[in-house]
Amino acid sequence: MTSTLYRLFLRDCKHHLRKQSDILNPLCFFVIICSLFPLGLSADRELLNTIGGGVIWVSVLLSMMMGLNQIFRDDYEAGVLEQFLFTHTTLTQVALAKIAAFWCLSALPMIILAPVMGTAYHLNGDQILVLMMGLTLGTPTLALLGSIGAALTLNLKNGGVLLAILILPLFAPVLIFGAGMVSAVGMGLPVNAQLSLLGALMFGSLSLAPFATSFALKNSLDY
Amino acid sequence: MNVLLKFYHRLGSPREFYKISSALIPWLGWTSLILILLASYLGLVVAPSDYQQGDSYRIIYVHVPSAWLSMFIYVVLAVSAAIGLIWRMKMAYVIMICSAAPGAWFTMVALITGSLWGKPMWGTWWEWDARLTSELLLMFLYIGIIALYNSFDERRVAEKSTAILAIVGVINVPIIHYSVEWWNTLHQGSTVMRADGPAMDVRMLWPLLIMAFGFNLYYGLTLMQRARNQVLVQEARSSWVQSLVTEREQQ
Repeated sequence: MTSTLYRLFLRDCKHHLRKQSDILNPLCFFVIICSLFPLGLSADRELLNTIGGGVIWVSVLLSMMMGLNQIFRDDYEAGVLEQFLFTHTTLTQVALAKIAAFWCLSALPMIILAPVMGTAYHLNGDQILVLMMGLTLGTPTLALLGSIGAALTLNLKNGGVLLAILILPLFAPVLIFGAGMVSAVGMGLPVNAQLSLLGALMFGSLSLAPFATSFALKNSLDY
Repeated sequence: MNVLLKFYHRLGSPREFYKISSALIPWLGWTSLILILLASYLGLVVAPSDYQQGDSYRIIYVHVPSAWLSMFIYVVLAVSAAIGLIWRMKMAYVIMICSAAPGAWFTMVALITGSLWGKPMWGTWWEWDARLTSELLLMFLYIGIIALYNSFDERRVAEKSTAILAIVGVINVPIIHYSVEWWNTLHQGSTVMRADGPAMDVRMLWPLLIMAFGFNLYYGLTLMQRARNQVLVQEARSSWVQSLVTEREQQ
């Protein structure tokens, strides 16, 4: 089981690494959205510090949304997903490996870039630390929930916009806790509760979402 | 056979459902009309004015029942989705799909009346309060469900996909309910559903409960009518629908 998962994970990572636009485009998208907000609002230090956490979180949400649409598509179009149905590998394992690979190659780079963006928004050291902790706990939930939506919209032509409508409302709790944490720490308040809730959401979705995703994949493959 | 089990099987068959709903519709329609009229009279004329909010609190008789229903319908939707997925019951999917549009409407009514109520009371049409925001998110969930169902060509796949989404989204309903306690902000706390009994004048409370019941029956009525139409479309090729149509034509 573990070695199967690991091999699937490596395969998906390699697949993404060969198509570098898969990784770089959402990342560029993330940086560009973050840079547009000061242009649209103002370069006021105070204002940027207040909105920084929220803006970075929303940008992460949207960039992950862009990548999620692709998470199963290549394998679906090549017929690989259907082949998996005839092997001992369950679609739950396939989904879990794909989500993990997607997280490593799309969310992790954004978490690493977050301090740069945080500095641009004049966040202080504590806020940046909390932002990164929140992103580390929150983005797996986003990837897991998003994979359900990606699996549901797999065989639709206009899947992209629909995926956003289906999944973005479900992302709201993560956004509330994650961005709330950054502003709470800015006011000197403790953030243990938000961290615990983000952790709970992550483990909750980790234990349920892969099954929902594999069920949705089977349905989309009409199996 | 067990009476309940028999009833369950009868409801599961589209043809039996069509018969049962034909008998139910007049009852649902008239009872809900009478209850809504009675509650309107009690609420608008008999109930006293609020010592703080004056007469403008009376919008509660539309706002609160709609808000209750918006959540209740989502639960109905998710439960029928689960029944459909687990027992492959045809009618469960019909109930699920036909609940989505009334649910979205009640959510819309709750949001609009809430906004009309908020303007004189809080001095604002909209506030990013946790409860209001959750209700808005519920609206998006309904829209997502309707959009997902309509984007498939094949009904079988559409039903299952929508059911999965409904079950995934049902996690939002408890969040709405407990949000008042979690992030208590501008929206007043619950006055009716409290452990130590409702904190409301009885003359104000009764019309609210009657109205809520009337709204519930009205939902039942629209659900039956929508489900009947859906059944007729789905079973258009079956002999009973065709004989039904020929009977109508002969009359």
